[in-house]
Amino acid sequence: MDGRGPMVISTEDLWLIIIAIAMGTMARLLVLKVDYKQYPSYPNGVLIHVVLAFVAASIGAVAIPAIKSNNYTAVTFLALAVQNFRDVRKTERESLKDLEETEYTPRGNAYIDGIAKTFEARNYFALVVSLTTAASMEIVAALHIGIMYQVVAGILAGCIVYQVISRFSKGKSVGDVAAVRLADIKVEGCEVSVEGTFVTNLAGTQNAQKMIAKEGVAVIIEPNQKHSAIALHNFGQRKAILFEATRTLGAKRYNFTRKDYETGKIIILFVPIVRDFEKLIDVVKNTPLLESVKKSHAVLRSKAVEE
Amino acid sequence: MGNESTQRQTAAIIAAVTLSNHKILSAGEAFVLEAKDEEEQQKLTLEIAKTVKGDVTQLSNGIYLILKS
Repeated sequence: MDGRGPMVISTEDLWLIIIAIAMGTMARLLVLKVDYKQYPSYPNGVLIHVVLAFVAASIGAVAIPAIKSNNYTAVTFLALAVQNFRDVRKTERESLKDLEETEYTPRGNAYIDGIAKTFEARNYFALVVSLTTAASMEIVAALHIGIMYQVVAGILAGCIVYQVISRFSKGKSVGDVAAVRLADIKVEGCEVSVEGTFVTNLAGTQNAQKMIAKEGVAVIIEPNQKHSAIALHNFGQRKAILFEATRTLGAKRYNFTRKDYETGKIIILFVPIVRDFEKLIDVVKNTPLLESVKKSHAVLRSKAVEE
Repeated sequence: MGNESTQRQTAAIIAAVTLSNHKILSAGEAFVLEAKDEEEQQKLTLEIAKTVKGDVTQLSNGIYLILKS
């Protein structure tokens, strides 16, 4: 014994840690594809999140072997991880806020909050998946079943937990609650309207009138149900839709969002750099419904009935 | 009213370009100038709007306002 004897990790534990880390990191990688749409620095942003996921997965993976070796303080690592992920959210929020002034239209605080929260939550994906994988492998090991079965059980448990959490955390998008279609723009003097709804009277110069009439695009978002309009009319939500639309197609000038109080319709109008209508409809439909503006209709209804 | 004021969607009137038949009682902080005809009024409006990167609207009485949000 050179004093390192008890420190040597058993093969089973090594497998457990490796599989758990791999599962946790993979869980984060699988949801990362959604993120780079929202993130400007694709290569570096992805690297940062993969490394963070690896760290998160490692914490989850070593927690079980640590507890097994009577090292109960290992649980405090989880608390440390949570603190670390909160910092991720904070950093993400700050960095996106710094970018606000350079974008075609601002994301808005509600959207930034949503993106930052998502980034934090996705790190928990890695942590929880690796923790579950490790726990299930340990349970199978306790039943004296072979290492191969332990690995299979770990992978299966990881996959199930990943499916459950990703379904739970999957938010809705604008296309789920509303119909999105292109609309005709009408320019009369300095007034611009879309299908009879006033949008702006800031087209005072002939240049502006020509530009909006010739190159402008307008999209109408019609809520499928009346209560969906509550979320869609939210200023933060409209800003998010306008941001996604202008970031995908660019914006030469003039961008407006309007809400029609009578019909509940939302109008997005801007002059894009690239005129690709299909992409425009797609991007508006895929804009996430912000967590901060979402209301549970079921809860509202039950309260109303009680009253 | 909603909370439009907190959403900073308001625009400030930077300048007004009028004609001789317009009577301006008070302009506040806006810069008011009088053009000799409609052609010059449009030209001046465009020049100011380009300079301040502002938006333009025309009132029903013919006055052009240059706004900046």
